[in-house]
Amino acid sequence: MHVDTNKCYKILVPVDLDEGAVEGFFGELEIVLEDQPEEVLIDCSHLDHATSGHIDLLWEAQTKCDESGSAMRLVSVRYGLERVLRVLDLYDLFTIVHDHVEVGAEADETGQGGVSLELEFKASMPDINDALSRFHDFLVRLGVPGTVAFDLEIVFYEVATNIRRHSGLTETDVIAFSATPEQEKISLRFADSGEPFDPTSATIDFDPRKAIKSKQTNGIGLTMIQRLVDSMTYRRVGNSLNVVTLTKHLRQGGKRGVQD
Amino acid sequence: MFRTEKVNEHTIIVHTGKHLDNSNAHEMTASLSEAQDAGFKHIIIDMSELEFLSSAGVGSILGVLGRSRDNGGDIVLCHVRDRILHILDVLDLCDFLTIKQDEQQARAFCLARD
Repeated sequence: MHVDTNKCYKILVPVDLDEGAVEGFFGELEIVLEDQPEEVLIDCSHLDHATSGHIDLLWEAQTKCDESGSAMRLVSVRYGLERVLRVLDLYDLFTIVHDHVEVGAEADETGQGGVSLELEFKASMPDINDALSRFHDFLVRLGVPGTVAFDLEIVFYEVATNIRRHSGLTETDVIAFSATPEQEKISLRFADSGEPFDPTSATIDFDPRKAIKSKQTNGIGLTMIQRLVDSMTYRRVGNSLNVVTLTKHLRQGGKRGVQD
Repeated sequence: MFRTEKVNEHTIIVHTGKHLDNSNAHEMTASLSEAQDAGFKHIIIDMSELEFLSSAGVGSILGVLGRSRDNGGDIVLCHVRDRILHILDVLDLCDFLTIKQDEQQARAFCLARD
């Protein structure tokens, strides 16, 4: 249990719901509620996959907080949990705090008859995977053909992990991402405040024969990115921001894409 | 670690999960290296469950492929889904890697080279 200076309590939801863990969770909650705090934060950061047991636990915690007159807020809610809450029509019954760990998602009208997706996520692997799941669902909603969607997901993953590896970001630094469909194309934009890194300036010389001889497998990711999209540009904005923009045709599957 | 299954003294099968990416590529490298250390010339990688292959996953296979081939063996992929094949094709690896349709064909290929 974590207590900050404003007497705000944070309790971690256990992943494994064995008897001891559940007792421990409610034991902590009971101690916290004796102090009659204004709010109790329930940390869901470990719940990549939520089960009915987790939902029951959250609901019971919500009831106990309500009875004690304390507001309960869920923090660090992973996409998997959010999806389960939405499917069960429970999302609106909980108060969810979209803090920095949370990956924010919005779908806005672009004015061109489509929707766009905007995400901000930390440069940690769990957050990148979380954002990838959101991007996947966005592409499904958009009706992007399966093979093209798969290529785009690969591109997303490779660009995000490249940024993480080369931009010197910490796990708490944020990557901003947007996906905007434009007629027959989709445009992906990544922005980060790390060290300058221009993926378009890298010379692609990936040769599998050389790779197995030297056991050096660098450059595979960049090769995949460049061959799976139709264009890629890089800008350094105000000496503080890396902006990579990629476009891909939604029907032809990019330079090396295949038809569905 | 990935699940493995010994076929004979020369051949072993390594089964992937749904993902082969940054999160487990090092484990794949370790599994393949361990099989090579144990003397298996041929390693069949069963990709029937594989849904997502990143560059790190590709690297984990290429990084140890040379050792198998230098020892007269190979790393053989089987049950490769179309989407995964597409990624390998993008990297010009479809002709470079040994890819068989299913485990039976992969086993037959390895047996013929023993």
